[in-house]
Amino acid sequence: MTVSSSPLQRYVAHLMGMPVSLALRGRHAEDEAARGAWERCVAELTEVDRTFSTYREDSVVSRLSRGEIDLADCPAEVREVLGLGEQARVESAGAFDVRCPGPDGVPVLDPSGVVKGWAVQRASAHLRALPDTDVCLSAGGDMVCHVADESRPAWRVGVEDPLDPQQLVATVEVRRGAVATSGTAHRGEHITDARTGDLPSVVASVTVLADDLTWADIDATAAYAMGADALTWLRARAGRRGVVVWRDGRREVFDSH
Amino acid sequence: MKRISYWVLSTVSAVVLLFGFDASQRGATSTPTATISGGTSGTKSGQSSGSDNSTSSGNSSGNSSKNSSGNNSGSTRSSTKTVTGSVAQTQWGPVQVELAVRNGSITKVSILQYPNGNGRDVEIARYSLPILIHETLSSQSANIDMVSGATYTSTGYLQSLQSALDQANL
Repeated sequence: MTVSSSPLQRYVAHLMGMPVSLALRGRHAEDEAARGAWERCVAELTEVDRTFSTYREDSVVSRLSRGEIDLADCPAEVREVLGLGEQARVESAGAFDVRCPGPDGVPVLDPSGVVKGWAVQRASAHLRALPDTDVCLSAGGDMVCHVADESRPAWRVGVEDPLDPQQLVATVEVRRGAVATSGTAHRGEHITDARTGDLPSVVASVTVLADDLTWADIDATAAYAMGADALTWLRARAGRRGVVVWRDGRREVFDSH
Repeated sequence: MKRISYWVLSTVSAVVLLFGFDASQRGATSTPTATISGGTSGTKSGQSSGSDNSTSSGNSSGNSSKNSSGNNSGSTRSSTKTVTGSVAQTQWGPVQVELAVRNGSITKVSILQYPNGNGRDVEIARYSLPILIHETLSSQSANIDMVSGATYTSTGYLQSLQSALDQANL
């Protein structure tokens, strides 16, 4: 077996309030085709943000949340995302919910827990279509990995230590699939248990590997919100692998393949 | 050229990480030499020497010519040397790595021995390799392509490992 010395080309954009990092290697790592695919990827994510952002007063989701428009008036993607959110709510027994209690107790529609993974998975198709080209597309630490050529090595993903972000707690290799991590290291406490509104306390971070980023991201978020129940729930999810880092520093691997 | 050598080095280290990770090797930067004897360490630090104790020549490309040509332009005048590492015994079986060195930089890494030998098993082995848990591992020694962490904002990104990787274009 030969591992070729294929160079890596990187691209970075800031979208949806977070960095989107792309690494390409192989035939179209740094040519016109690569730049074109990256531009289409960025354009698609920008459009998704325009539709789904809860920070934009005029986004479809903000208007839907305020009851100004009906679900029937929304683009098909909005219905798709809310459908995924509902599936996630059911499968997580309510820990994951796109409708969360707002500051005044009125439920606020916030599908961002679904949107990011779903959008990045979908946008990665532009890049994965590049022939003989390996893709690793990360949005704020959650990524889609794709190795086109069997002779090239898997993408190596370092899992950041939530208790010390300059360190890694684990390394995973992914040829085709997705890696998502939920935790508190960079954003502070931003995930609450939708069942209680509580901040999870015992879990520092959850990293999930799955076939696609939509579900890797949903599962990482849901498990993190569950706190002490995270690992038990993840072990019952088919086709998932990953790591749970507890507040006390313990790391536990799960593999439901 | 520099980027290529780093990239290949990271491949080497990844292999070592995959198979050679135990308590005695946790000391990060020493890991590459644990598996590969010969010019590796010199190449890593200086990327100008490093091939002193390499031997056999010629035989530069097994089957990966498509990448090497475009990326190594300008260095065709010097020949490629290959350095064969000693066999490292790992918990999954023996691993042996061969490096191609040109102008003091590693241009190719070949894995001569992998647990279970044939290519198909290699794929399976790679796919089913466990997630490696580290006590502590600094980013510099990890040789990773991307960082998975709790969603960071564009502000937090500036201090992140991912930002360092992107800037270095490694």
